[in-house]
Amino acid sequence: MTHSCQQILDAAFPFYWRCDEGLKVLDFGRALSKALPSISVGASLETFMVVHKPKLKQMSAEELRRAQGSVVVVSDSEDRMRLRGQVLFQEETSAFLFLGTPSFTDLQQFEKSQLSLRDFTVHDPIIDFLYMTRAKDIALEDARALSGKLAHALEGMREAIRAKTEFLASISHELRTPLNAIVNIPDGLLESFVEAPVIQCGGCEMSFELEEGETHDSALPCPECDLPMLKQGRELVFEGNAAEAARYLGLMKRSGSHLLGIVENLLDASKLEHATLTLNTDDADLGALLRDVVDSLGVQADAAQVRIRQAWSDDLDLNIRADTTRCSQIFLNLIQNAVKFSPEGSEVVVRASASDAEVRVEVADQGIGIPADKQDIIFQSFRQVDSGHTRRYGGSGLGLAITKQLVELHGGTIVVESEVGKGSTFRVCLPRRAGESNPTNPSTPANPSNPANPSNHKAPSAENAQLDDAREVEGVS
Amino acid sequence: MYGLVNEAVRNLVITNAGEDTWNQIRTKAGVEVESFSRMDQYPDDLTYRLVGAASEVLGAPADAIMEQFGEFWIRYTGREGYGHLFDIAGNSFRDFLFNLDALHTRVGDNFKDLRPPSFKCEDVNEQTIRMHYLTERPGLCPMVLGLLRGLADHFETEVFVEHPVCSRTGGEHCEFLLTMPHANR
Repeated sequence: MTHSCQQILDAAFPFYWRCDEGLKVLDFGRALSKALPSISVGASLETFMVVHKPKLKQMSAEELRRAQGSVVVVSDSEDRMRLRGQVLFQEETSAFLFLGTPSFTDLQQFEKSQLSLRDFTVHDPIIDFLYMTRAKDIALEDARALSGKLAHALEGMREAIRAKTEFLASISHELRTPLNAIVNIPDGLLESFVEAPVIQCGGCEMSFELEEGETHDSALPCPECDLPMLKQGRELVFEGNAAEAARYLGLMKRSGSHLLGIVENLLDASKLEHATLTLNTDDADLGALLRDVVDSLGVQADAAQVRIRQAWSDDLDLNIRADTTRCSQIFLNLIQNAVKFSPEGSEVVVRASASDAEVRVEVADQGIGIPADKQDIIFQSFRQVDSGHTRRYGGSGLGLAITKQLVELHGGTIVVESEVGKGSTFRVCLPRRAGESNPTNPSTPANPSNPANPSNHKAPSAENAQLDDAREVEGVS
Repeated sequence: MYGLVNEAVRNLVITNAGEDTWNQIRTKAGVEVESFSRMDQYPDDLTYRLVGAASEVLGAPADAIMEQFGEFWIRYTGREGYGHLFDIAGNSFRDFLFNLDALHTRVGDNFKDLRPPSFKCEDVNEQTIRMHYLTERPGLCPMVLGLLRGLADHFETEVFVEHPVCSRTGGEHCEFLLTMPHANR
């Protein structure tokens, strides 16, 4: 073969080799030694190369002749890289010619090969194959990632449905208790009203009760106006215990107020979920606000034998721009929760501190604490540390979700530190210009909160009393 | 535009400005998906909207964002496993530029509807190359400036880039003059 032919062969097939009928190497392509490192001119094929396909009985000229027309796969003796191609026998030169190229199944295999794409000719389809292999890998990676996201989302949806089902059960219970009071109390009261015989004056409209069976002489004048216009009739008369009736009516009113509180919180939750809750920002003295909240919880704290201690100095500047109603809601919820979960004789401490940029309020209790793996859950809507809490401590367990969203709506943050059996500390940071930095709802849309706690500032002790009373009525009914 | 491009935009924003900023940009651009299937075809309009929204949210000119993206694209594609495939286009800035058109032709042949741009290079003198940038997508020439900067970094070559003819100011197509003061052809 002429030198120029060899050059063309090398340029077009950089992984070629030629050998004579004695299977000694005549010449080979510029890149072949990267695939068959032991190749050299004059070396015997069997010393540096193994033929994988087709299966040869032995490395011989006869067998190589038979391999013509078949796909031939060869490698070095350690099978580090395979070459795929075909063997041709050149009658004029009595030489075997192998035309082939390295074979890869993926890009990683290529990367390990120490070859560069510049070792290949431009027309070699291996380059396109590697492009397509990489594209396939990327598409598969994306498909797997998407599949993982879908599975995660599905799990999230299932969890949300489960949480909403639990929420419906707990909120139904919360609604039923005061509703029972409202529905059942009138039954007892109505039984206290009886129809009695009376005489009524057509002139002054006074009524006079008659004993059962007693008759009346219509000719007699009215004892009140002296007119002879008395007629006999029947009228509803209250014969119950007035003090007891007043207590029941008070209970009905408190139950109604409690229901209203729950509904208001549901509305808050709905507004927060749909990002339609807006803040009415104004100048606020957070210190005075905290004192009011603590005062409003005095009766409840006394009943629970829990002391609420306010720990900040009077000269501390706690003035901020914020929605005072919503701020009261935030701290009422936190302090009320702290009291609710505190053992008798323990202390709830409300601390405040401030910098130029923000004010910080801590509410620390010595209560049951929150397990570390549940500390995120308490801020999620429809989630509770355990569903038994609703029955044990009351509330539907969503108040903290509302609280967190209200804090974030003010551009602030809320975190909890807690240890089971030792207590919890909730730490709220509000920027001085809270509520002006973050006008839209920053929380995730699917995060409605729970109306476990009232949004207005009714005395929580009254609510608890009302709940107890309501349960009492529920138990009787 | 292939999802790979949009995904690179997402990566660039998240790397430099964070996930929240990306979500703002995505929302402003009216893009509902959080990420892109890299081998899928998306409307060109989506990419333009992303660039426009990024410009508004980041308070930077769209041209600057595209230029930064172009530079990032070289790193991104290398990281995404195309680094070895770049090798085929040459082992120097100059070789790469002259092979860039063949690279895009090859990619265009392999991927359906890719519609890649064309880059035709010619030597002006020993140190300067004129590159003609032809594309059916208008207004992306700042990205080419970034690409060239990214390539110069990749090949550790000092390059001065001029943009004497621009399709946005009446040129038939964009032309770039690339001067490599230390070049030995």
